[in-house]
Amino acid sequence: MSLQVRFMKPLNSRSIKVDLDLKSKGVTVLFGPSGAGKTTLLRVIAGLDNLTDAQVIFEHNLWQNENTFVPPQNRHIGMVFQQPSLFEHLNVEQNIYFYRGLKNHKNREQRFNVPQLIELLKLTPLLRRAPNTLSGGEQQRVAIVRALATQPDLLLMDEPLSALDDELKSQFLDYLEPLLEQISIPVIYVTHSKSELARLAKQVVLMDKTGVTGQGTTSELLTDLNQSLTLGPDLQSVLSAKVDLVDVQQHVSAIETPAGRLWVSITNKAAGQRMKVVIHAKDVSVSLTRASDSSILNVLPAQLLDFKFTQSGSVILKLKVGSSVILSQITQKSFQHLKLAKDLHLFAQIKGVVIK
Amino acid sequence: MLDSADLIAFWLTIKLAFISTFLLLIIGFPLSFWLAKSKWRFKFIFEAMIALPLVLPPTVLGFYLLILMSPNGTLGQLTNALGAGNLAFSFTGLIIGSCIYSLPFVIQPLQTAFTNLQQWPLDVAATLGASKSERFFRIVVPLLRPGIISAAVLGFAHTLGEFGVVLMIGGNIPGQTQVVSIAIYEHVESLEYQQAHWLAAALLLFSFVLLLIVYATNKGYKVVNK
Repeated sequence: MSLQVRFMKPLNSRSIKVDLDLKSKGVTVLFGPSGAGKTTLLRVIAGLDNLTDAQVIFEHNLWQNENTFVPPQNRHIGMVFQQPSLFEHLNVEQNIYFYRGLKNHKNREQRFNVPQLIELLKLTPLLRRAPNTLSGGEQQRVAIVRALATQPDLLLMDEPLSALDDELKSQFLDYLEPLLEQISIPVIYVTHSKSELARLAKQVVLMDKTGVTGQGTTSELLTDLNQSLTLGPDLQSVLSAKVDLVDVQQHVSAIETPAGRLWVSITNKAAGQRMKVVIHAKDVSVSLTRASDSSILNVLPAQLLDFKFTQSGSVILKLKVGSSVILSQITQKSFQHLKLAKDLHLFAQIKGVVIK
Repeated sequence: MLDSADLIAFWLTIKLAFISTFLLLIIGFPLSFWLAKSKWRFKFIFEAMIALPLVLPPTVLGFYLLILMSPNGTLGQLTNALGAGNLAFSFTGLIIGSCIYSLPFVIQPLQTAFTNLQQWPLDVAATLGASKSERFFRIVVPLLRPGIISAAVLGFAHTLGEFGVVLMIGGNIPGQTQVVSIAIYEHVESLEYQQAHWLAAALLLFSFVLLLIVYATNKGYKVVNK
């Protein structure tokens, strides 16, 4: 895909400047704090906000410049909003099939099979229900199917999980992650949650109160010590993984990751299954020699690429492990004791691996 | 039982109510949209003017309308010059009077409905591919439906029960301006209580059945007192 967006939005005390050129397929996450203009950017792409001097080009189609403005209904986008957005005068089924009979929908290529989507997001028992009888999560599932049912060329999602509580969020991600991996259209997903970013994003666009500040692949940005993104309280590295073998007797499985082979204490996934694993920086310690008398199963050779002192007295290490990058968080005391320096060869001891 | 004069009065009343309601909805739709969405500083003047019939005794309203519609009045001169004849003591005059008298009852629920109409359903529909007219018919109208029904029922019922304005500008001409409320009044004046009973009961039953149908087909919607 190719998407170019350019605009400037003056606010009272500052202005948001966006100059964005997206080329890659898959899920792009717009990440940043609230007030960073993420929703504005999404609404400009959708054509819901018509800012003067904005320029939007999608797949060589000019959507907006000084002389042109293609209204949202002619852009063939799907959009899922932050707040539940179902039409209250229609039931779930009527909401999903709202596109039927619309002029703009004639002769659209059928990319998504609507009954299959309904089945996939487990909406069949809800079809006759009125929107106000559904939970927040159910409403958002309907909204996603409704958006995809219009056979869009681009899916925009504006913090679709923000109205849900934490437990529902993780349930919902279990639906969303495989769906977004399967669908063949580019997705732009707005969030300020690092865990959503880690689970869903292929690439990331970082925004702060002045506009776009960086863009790159998820693993690069999540481990870039000079990005504000990595300085939050819950530092983590995300790796894609494949189950290699399952040892039911010892109650462990071996998974293959770009960092190397890791042992995890689960047995409920079959060999060959793919997933994502999260390694929290606090769960990674380092040693200068390979400790053979440790209880920690996962010890991998690593190279110290970079480090950064934090305000709270700890040090973040950026370690190259295998072909991937893993973050480690240790104390300043250990850092000085081990006399760590850039390019030093170490061993990373990984205490915990979280399967998503 | 109802005699033929009563039946004519009954038919006239219903005709008046239907025509007035129809005209009121046509006038009320754009007017209430403007009242709900306009940010004009002096909008309140119009709001006060439209609300006047709520507080004014119908005889006062009727009196001024009669003056305007009389052959020497501004409106009367105009209609006469156009060759449309006199408005005072005519059915057309009654329709104009009813529309002015019932206007606030139609405007109020419509204005509330327009005020409550939010932008997001329209945005959502646009992203789903709905054009402007598709959004109007598939989103705006259904969401306004309770307000439209409220407005129609209130306008209709209010015209049905009108007395003072009709008496002032229409008088009591059978077949032309004699509506049920005035026919009942006349029966009572001439001590024909039996006749008055029949007519009153007929109007009561008709009004009740009408409201029954509206409430039964719009369960969950409030028709009055929005």
